[in-house]
Amino acid sequence: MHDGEKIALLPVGESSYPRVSHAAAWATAAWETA
Amino acid sequence: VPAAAIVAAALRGTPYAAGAREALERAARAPGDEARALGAVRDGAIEGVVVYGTFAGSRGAGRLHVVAVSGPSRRTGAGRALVKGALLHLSEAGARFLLAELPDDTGALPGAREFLATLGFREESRVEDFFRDGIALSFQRREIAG
Repeated sequence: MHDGEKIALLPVGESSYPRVSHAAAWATAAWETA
Repeated sequence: VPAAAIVAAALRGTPYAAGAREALERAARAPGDEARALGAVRDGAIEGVVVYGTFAGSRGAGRLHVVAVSGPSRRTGAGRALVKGALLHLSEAGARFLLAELPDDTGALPGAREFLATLGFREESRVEDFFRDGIALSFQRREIAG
């Protein structure tokens, strides 16, 4: 039931996290098109 | 599915959708101490979102704006992971506790109280008939170990 280890937490709309910048940009894009 | 759509779907038809959307919009466009958002991503798709921060002008008073998880992903740990992520970040930022201002509305928000309870939240105080007759504002508090 709890497979939290497979879940990544990424900032939404923030680009100041170098390691997740691509994902953050993607999340921002998703927001912009919402 | 965009984070905004998850929040909108989770709160559709409730009186709480507008406030949650505003919090997410602020967090996404201008993340800062008062509001920032995390998305839970599994297999490349956003399954949920948490918006959290600190109360404006406070010292170490964390605020849980909203947690929303898409329907198919509920009860899979996404919501717990999101709140734990927020708690970790707030702890690192020096927050002493996290407070959720929960509408005590089991019709519109089924399971919300129980969800928070499993994460260690306890009712700090409540304001009866706050949102409307019969719907209280429940302050749910979770300590953050210092």
